[in-house]
Amino acid sequence: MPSLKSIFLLLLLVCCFSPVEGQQSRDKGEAVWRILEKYDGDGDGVVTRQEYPRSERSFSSYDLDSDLRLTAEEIAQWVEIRGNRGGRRERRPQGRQGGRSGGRGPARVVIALADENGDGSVDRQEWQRALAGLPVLEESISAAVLVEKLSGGSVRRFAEMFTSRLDEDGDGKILLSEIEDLFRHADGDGDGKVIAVDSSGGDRSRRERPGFSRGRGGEEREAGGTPAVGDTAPDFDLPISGKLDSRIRLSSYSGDKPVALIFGSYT
Amino acid sequence: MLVYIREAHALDSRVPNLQGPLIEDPITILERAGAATQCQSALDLPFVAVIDGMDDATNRAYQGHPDRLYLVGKDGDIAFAGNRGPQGFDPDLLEEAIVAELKKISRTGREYF
Repeated sequence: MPSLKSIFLLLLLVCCFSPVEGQQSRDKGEAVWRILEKYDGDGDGVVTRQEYPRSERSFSSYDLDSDLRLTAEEIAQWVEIRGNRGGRRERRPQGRQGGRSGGRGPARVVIALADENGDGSVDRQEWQRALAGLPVLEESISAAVLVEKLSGGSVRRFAEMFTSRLDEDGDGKILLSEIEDLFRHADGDGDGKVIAVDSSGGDRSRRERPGFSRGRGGEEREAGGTPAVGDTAPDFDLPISGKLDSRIRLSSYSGDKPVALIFGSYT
Repeated sequence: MLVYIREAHALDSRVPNLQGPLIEDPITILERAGAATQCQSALDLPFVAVIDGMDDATNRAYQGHPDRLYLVGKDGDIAFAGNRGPQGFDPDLLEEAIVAELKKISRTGREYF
């Protein structure tokens, strides 16, 4: 029986990708067309909007030329475009560049640069004001200036390290566009707001903020958002995969044993 | 247990993943169950999976999309709440939480070790 860790690794592996190219792209195009072809009721090699039973939005996602007809050629082109541009964000190579594309670094920088009211979060307006206040010269700012702005005392080492990653050619200048991009990298859920991230579970800032409450375990939770440590687990009663007439109620385990919940899907 | 929720990267979504399984966004519980079965079989998952309803109620209650880990303690309270995946999907933290929870339980009478 595979270990839990190997299963998790498998789950993560299905999340990995690289651009679709050449033969692989053609194979994918054929595979996607085989999925869509089943809707071709009259077998004329065209799936029309009338034949397609799913939503308008779904159909539109394939219909590159908006002619309400899908063909094998169009889907091949769709795969070409989606495979190279769509889907998940491309993984950045490890190394100097890797540090600014994810994790807590960008969020820390955004908070350090732009958290005017000290509430542990930055919205787009605050971010724009902070950018406008940066001393820009020829679309760049000085790496030394950035370190000073980020430092604020105890985090100088982090500021220097992060700034050196942005300054890839070591010329002491950071392109303003690199700074502007930080907000996008830090705003993981794309809600237009960056908050500090704590590693112990749940997104939270260092202080209690409006719109947030704390669970009984002291963990902060967004109002109406994710359950936090100490909260009563929201109950559910759901059918079991493979035997849909049988169900599991989460609360039936209460007082008996703990339950690990893995939320996810195959894709 | 796996709580099978709506697809993260369905073919007809804004963010299809052509390197993974090619699945259109299920529009019935049977389609979603079919995708779950495929997933369990392909990944050889040794634990039970339950299927979230098409109203996505459980997903919304836990903010589980696209993937997230939780541990519900024996007392029915959340013992561990992982960050939003995939960046926050950290099985090591879940494992630590499971070990801590089982130790807590063994101290209070029931033997798990």
